[in-house]
Amino acid sequence: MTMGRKVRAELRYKKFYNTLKMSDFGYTDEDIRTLFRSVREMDDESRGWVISWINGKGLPKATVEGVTAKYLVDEVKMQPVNALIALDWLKHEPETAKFYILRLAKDDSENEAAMEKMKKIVEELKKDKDKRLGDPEGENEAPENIEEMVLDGIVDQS
Amino acid sequence: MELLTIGTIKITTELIAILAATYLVPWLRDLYKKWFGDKKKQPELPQQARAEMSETDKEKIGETREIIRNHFTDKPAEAIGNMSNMERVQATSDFVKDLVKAYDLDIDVDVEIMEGSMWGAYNFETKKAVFNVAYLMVDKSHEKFEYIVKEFLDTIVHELRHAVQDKAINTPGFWDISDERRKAWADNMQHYINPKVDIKAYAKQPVENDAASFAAMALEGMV
Repeated sequence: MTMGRKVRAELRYKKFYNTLKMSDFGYTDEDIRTLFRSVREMDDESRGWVISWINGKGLPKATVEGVTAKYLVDEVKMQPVNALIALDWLKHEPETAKFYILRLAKDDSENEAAMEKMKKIVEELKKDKDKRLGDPEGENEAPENIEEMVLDGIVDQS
Repeated sequence: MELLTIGTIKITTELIAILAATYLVPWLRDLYKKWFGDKKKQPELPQQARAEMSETDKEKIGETREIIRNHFTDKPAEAIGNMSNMERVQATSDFVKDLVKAYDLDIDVDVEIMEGSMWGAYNFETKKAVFNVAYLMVDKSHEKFEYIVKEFLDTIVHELRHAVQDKAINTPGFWDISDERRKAWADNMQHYINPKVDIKAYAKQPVENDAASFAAMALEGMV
């Protein structure tokens, strides 16, 4: 069996910046600086993953706490560098990392069709509410409390 | 706070509950199972990852726990599970109102069934908090009902803690928060890190670490 040779590689900020800036994610310059600082804090192996990805060699196959970078990208909808940061974090602070990754997963929709259905239901709900209040434009809201309503009319002065 | 009319709620929350159970919580299935198996264990923010809380913060955490007990007893999942959907919306609204009062906040709040996957948020510019009760419409028999209840209550406390941070930045002496902390929060808001950019840097930034820690302590052992 041939073992891959491990060598130390370097990555200049300029290449890191250009690769991320050209991605579809829409990173700001500040985002990229934040990511570079985070990558600098990673261990050697994790930094190697980032360097390999930037150099077009794809994501690592490594599994950490039962997940791979590919899983974090495909299922949790993370961008690749964020996924590698998460994988490194899982290595060093697994319980804290899991807490936050679950939170991130929770705020992403996994099913666009279901989201569309939800939107339609909410729209119908709002129309139904307006219909019940007798205001198809939905501009005027019925008073919440009848006790606050005021009547006026013409009365005899006597 | 905006609420839906009773007749409409009866029909649509049932539909939304079905949708929520089927579609809005599939993320729990896989990742949760990977890390927690079939155990009832809730993911917790570890002690070593929590921010320091001042004496005033600790008092407020105690008050928060008392308000949770007042509205939902010592077992919120059980209490909420026994409520109808309409009751859950009303109870959540009342709970949020009491917290806003206890925290001495001047903000707008919407508790409603919302489209999209967001659980809740506080906007520092509009001074408004919104909470999506759709998640609470899931039936109590759902295998992750306790997790959903805990996460929802945690979201409320977490986002209202952001409102506290916002008021503290602009009001010296609010909650006896030190000038050092106020400045750290103010600086953070000028350079806020999105979790979709860098999840670790997001978690460790002052406003998020503080809010997550406050909420974790308020909810500890409660669900």
